[in-house]
Amino acid sequence: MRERPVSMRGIRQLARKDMADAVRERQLHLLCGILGLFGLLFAYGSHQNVGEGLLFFLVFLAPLAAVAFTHQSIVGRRVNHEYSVLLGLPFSRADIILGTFIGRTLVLVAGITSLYVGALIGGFVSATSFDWSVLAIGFLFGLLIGLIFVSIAIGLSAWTESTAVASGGAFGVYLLFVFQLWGIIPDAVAYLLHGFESPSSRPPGAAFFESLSPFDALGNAVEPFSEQLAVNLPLISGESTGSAALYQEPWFGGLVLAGWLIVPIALGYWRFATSDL
Amino acid sequence: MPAIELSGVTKRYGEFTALQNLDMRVKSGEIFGFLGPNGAGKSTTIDILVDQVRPTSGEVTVLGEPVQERPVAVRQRAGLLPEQFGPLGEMTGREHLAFALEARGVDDDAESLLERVGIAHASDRPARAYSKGMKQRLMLGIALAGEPELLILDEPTTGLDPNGAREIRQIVREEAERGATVFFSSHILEQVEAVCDRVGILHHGQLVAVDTIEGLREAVDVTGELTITLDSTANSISDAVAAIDGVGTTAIDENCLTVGCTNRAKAKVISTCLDAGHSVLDIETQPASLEDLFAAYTRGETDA
Repeated sequence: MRERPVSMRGIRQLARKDMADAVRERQLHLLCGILGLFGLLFAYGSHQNVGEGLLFFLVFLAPLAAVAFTHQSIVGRRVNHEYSVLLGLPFSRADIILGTFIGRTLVLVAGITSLYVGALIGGFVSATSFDWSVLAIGFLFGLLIGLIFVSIAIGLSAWTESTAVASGGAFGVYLLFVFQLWGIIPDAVAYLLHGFESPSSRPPGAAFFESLSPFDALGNAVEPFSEQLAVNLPLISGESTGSAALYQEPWFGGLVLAGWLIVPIALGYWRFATSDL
Repeated sequence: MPAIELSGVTKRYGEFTALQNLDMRVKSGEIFGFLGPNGAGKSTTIDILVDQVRPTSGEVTVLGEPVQERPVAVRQRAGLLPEQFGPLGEMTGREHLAFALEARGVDDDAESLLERVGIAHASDRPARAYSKGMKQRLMLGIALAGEPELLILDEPTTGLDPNGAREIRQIVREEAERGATVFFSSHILEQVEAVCDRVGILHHGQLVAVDTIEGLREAVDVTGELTITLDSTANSISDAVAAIDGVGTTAIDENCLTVGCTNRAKAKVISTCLDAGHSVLDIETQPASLEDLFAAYTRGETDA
């Protein structure tokens, strides 16, 4: 009888190890220090709308931190032959992927918490008033977009045997969105299909494709919680058309976010679980 | 129930065949030596035993568990010393062993394990900074954690000085006395000969022979070599030497006579040289090489 692919005990021990690795390698100190200081200075210097401003920066910083601290987390240990040791102990490959994901999640939570704690301290010093609900919503959605990039970076790291592919891939995906190249993809495809000429109108489905960006999905999903936060979000490729299409509904945004959170790590696990280590 | 059972295991990497239709059975409670030159497929076999590598075809059972369906159960009950290993993050030696004990769900103290594998003096240093031999000892400690029913040791004595190798063999004997099965790979004949009950010899991904240690000794005995340097050309006595019971091969290079023979025949070879009026300037003996051993076994097969 085939055994269960995951055990809570194994995942817990590996998540604790992953977190401890981040502490021993001083990654956690670095991340919390930088983000904490950033939050402190930012809130100290700005006297209003701290919550909106923090989420604005978090949309850039959380994915960047996630990619930077995660892209080597599987493949790096694989090429160091750490898994030859771990898979001599009663762990499964799923335990490794999920344990690492949870460990990196905790690292990211610690970093983002530092950002907000820093901001609260800076804000109190400069007597700034906070909108607490905006802060809380911003924290959660900032964490969510960060976790999506943890999933992408772990997925790539588990997929490949090359540390260069893992880092190039993870930073590449990040830059794809930061440089707002995602929204250009449908136009580029149409350009190629029209024999290197720009078609007179946007290709059909372009707006739908844009809504599949995790950043557009974030904007759509945040809207019912705080319109104020949603309109200030950066990196959104789709234009607001006024009449909201189905794929611009908040629930659809939530679905897209869930997809980005689950699919990359699931694909990476599938490849990791079926290959020779 | 056999501790390890492989039937018809083949592993291909693209065009290259690492293992070809391997059938092997290791009995419960024995010390099994898995012998073969580098590149014979020993590590591939071991990686398959713990499901780090999947065979192209064939069935693998370890401690009665089908490894591909139940790898965690196998890893719970079998301790592994892999051929290539990396320390876990920046953990110290003590943290490594505590981690392994926790993983196996054992409430033991890491201290006695640290002492047993001889790294207690370095237990609080990061294992990354250990020497090759100390890392090897640490990894053996991880394999031993929680008294597993089966120990799978891939070249456990590489990187160790003769003293260290002896300590490892001592640990292997102790584990066998406790009742554990030990599966021990090596490319060095003497390492295996000194401690194993039975030996399997792997060559080019195929099992050339499985034999008891007595059988192995006999085969080794056939292929031991004796080189005698005489004061003048050895041509005149080669026929007399070749006629001695137990002599397999003779080769002459000027004053040097090289004889492949049993240990028992060595004295007779030397006395034949002396009786013929030669002075013996030097005597060298070489133990059988692995290659000699394959030759001995394959010759045996063609004779039969």
